[in-house]
Amino acid sequence: MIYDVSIQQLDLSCTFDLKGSQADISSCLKELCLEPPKQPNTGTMSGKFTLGWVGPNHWLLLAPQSEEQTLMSVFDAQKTIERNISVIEVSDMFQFFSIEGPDAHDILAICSPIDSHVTAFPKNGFTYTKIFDTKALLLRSIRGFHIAVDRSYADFINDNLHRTLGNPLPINHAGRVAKNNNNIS
Amino acid sequence: MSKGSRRLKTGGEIDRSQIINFEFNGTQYQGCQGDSLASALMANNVSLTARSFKYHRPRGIMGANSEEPASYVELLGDAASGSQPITTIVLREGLRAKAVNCWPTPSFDLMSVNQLIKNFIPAGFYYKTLMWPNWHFFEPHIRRIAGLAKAPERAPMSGQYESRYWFCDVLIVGAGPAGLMAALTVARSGARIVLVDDGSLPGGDLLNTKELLNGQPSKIWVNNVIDELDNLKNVLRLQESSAWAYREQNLVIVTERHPAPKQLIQRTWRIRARRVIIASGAIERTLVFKNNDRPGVMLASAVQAYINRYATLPGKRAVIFTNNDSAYQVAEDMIAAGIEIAAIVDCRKDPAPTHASPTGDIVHKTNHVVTKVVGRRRVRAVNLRSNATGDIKTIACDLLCVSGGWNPTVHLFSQARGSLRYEDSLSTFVPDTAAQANVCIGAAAGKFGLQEIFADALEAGHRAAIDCGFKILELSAPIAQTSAPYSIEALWHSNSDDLSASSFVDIQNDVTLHDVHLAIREGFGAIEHVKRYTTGGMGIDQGKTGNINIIGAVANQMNVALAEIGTTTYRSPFVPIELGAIAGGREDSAVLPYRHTPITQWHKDYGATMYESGAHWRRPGYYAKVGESLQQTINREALATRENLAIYDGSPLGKFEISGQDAIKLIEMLYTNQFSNLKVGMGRYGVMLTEDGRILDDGVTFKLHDDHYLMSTSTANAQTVYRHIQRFLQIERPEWRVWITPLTTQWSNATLCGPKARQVLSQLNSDIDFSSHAFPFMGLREGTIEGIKTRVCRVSFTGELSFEINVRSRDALKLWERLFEIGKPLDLVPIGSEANHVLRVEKGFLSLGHEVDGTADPYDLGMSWVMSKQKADYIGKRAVKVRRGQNRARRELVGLLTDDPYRLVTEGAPLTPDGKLEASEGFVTASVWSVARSRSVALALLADGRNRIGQKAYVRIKNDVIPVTITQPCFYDADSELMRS
Repeated sequence: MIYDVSIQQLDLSCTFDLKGSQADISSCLKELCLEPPKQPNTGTMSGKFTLGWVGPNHWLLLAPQSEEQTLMSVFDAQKTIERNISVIEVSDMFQFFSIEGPDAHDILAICSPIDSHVTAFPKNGFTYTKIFDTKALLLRSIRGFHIAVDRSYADFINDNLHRTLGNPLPINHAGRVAKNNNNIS
Repeated sequence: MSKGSRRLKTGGEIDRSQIINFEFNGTQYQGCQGDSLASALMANNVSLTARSFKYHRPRGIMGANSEEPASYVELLGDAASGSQPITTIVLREGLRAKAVNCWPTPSFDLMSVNQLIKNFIPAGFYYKTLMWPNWHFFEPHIRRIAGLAKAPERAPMSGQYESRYWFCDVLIVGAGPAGLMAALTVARSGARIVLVDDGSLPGGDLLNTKELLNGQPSKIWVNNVIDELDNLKNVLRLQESSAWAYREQNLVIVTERHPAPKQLIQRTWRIRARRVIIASGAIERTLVFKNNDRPGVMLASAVQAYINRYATLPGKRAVIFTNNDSAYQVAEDMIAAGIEIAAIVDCRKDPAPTHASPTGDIVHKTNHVVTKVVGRRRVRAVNLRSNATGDIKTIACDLLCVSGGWNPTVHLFSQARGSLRYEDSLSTFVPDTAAQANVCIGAAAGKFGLQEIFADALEAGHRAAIDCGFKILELSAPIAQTSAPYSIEALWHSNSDDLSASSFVDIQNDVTLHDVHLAIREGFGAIEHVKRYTTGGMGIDQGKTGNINIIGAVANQMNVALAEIGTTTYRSPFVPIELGAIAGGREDSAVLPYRHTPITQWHKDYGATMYESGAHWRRPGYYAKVGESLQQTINREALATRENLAIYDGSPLGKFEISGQDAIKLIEMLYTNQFSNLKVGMGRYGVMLTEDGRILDDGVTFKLHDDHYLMSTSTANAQTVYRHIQRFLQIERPEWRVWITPLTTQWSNATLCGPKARQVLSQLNSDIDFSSHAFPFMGLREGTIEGIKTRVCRVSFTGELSFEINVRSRDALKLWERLFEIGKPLDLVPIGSEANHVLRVEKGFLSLGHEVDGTADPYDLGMSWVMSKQKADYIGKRAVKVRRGQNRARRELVGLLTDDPYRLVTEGAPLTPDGKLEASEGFVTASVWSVARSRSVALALLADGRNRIGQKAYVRIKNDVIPVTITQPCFYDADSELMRS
């Protein structure tokens, strides 16, 4: 491998898309003891929950999948309509990847046009960007980054990430034998 | 080292103990660690290294860096690469290279016959002479003859290219004295910097001279600076890296030729900097006289580099020809190295006093010019002419050093759209006003004295650091020993009486003074026209040594000032860049994005042929069985749907949830028909228009709850529709309380269709009543199937009874396999997009990209019923009204039946009046073999089509006309009873 990094395709996590005014969202999240972040493109954490501010009147709430039922009851459809906010589960839309290790910044520099330096993308950074020209969510993890792409692009992203490591998938998703893979005779 | 080596016994930045073996034009040579390919060949006494682009004249090495105009090589083997300047190739063990523009070798080149016909092939000859029978008859041959090196025929067998993004506060281009000084200044402030240098070693011109700094060899200062920079975490230093393009918003593209991980071939950096300091130095230009391209004619600065850096003698007896002061320092180094100086020829009457009497007994010819080089494969002598008397004298020599003055390397500055001005005192163009946050410093700004360069760099470094919000630390510049003033007298050519086609202004492109004069005579006097007429300044060299001479020649000939002529556009790339380096890792399956559904692998395992079907989705086209033709497969799948049971993966269909108190207002604005009376649990088909009243998309929207809707769109247009809605909401109705959430991949979709669809559903464990009474056409039901949360919609794109079963994507494969298990005894068949196309054409359902071609409105497609008369407004309403008020004939959707039922017409083929070769009156939008009708059927957009139903029309195809009968655009179940069943 060219880079000292570990890339993992992560299991499904629970994700909710929240839209509405900050005040309305804030009130809706009280039950979870979660406050919206103060700065755009950053996130806040409370227990198992992470809330990221990803656009005007737009937040994403991340949680372990085990919290799915809890959150669905918190965000009962009727309640959200009454509050004039939109809360929609989008867990299945995302495929998360972890990019972790000493060279995680190198991988991100290859796949994304974002400036991942801590002065530009802080430790609580949480933003949409592009990964291999595909819309993706980016946030920091302890040893690197987590990215989330639309699940339909997951194979494409996985294909690209392996190429970046100099370790292409044995058979790529176009069905052709990968050029640099030494395991293929 | 081979016999006749020109290597000096001592000195230079080479390691004589490390011998490197390499091959050039099939011959094995040896060089030293630290050599370039050019210096190693020179040390091996190889002087003929290439042939010229057009006339195939013998060429040697002229420069020492990327300015090299004469010798380009093709690298062979694993490092295969196209045209590269011979001077920028760092010698590595096993390197294989061959000269370009020659066959078989530079010494014996068959195409050198071009020299015999040079008078017949001046600039632009092919515009005039290769007109009959057709330019394209000649073009491939011309390209084969010219064309420099061949591109590698295959990708490298190992290793990969990489492309990455980077950001910094200050980017410094060039690690010569100016660049290093500026880098040190900024780096000490703590700002994030990137220092880029295209040489194999940092130091720039300091490597090539014997300059002392603070009383010590300049190398010591360079090494100290590099050590400090390399120990700072805020510094990224890229050596052997060329900054070759400057784009908007301070984006500079840099290619690293030998990045550290050995698996990487090259790496390209897209660096976005807050400030850019351009310390790219200056390029010495050549002088124009007869045979100024012969091997042995070299730039004076290059000769100095070969002596001091590479410890190699470019010749034994030299003449120096100059119009400025810089060549005199070269003379001193040449003498020190043991080269005999036969004469210094200076075109100026009174050179600067310090140079009036060069060392020793050297003949110093002031107010003289070199008019001609004698010798063919190597300089043997030069002819001098006295400007005062006109006397001609011949001096024997094997090396002619020329120095026509220095051009600041303004390429990047100019690419950034900075303006240039002509500086008389330097006889060249210098940076004027920057268009982006950048600054040129040192020689790149026209400052040639070393002490002046350091002062300039210090100031620029301070300013950049402060501009980026950093505090600066005190820093002083080193003291340079020599800081001689620089003066020049412009000399654009020395031999205006002899305009034979061998006084070259652009050596790389074989452009002569004669060509420039010809262009002016032909009326192409504007400098951009001269460039295009002659190709001067074009190509991989980008006129580094020649551009200013061309401008000077034009100004001279037209008798205007150079400032009035201006420069041509400086284009990227500054140096030749491999296409692989630009593409990065994007090759093979990663060239274009692709999207898969959760069921993709199942499709592949089942033998589906997959291809892109819009919006990057790869979908099953068809599932061929062994021995089946494509048409047989499509027929089988379509027939199964009509007569029995089929299933397809409809996951890519666009899906959005729209909620909020103004949701219905938005939906009413988007669609042409009414939705406000829609009941919960029901959906309605709708058409969306663009603002100019043409169909944007169609789909079904369901009411989930009050103020909560689920909208579906076509697969290909989902993103376009989302942008359309966002634009409307953000610009036109920002006050509306409505939220739209794309959910295309949250929900995957398995669509069961065919007469037996309900039989499968009835066997599923579900809390949904699928009976026609409880679940009518266009209904939506939420519940569970086999314990899986579902949303089932009764819509049909095939014209058959159809259920779209939507589940969360995590459950899609499980559902699909369960449906297949239950459906198998009923002969359930998976169908692809080809069969779907047949089924929708039979029904006359519209399809984007076919009937919806970007010009059609609903009336054209016979859908006036979808245009609400009650709604006060919707997007596109007024535009449609205005357009249709003009009462012009429109193309309308019709069906076509060929006279011969077995004849298929071609999709996209035009319909013309009576089949004549006239302007078309429409075109075929879709054509299929109908399994329902057992014959070919087609749809078309035809002028005034609906009024012509029952009449004849004619489809023109190549060499034939196909008569057809115009029909209603529906060939199956016109009353749609089946899909409502």
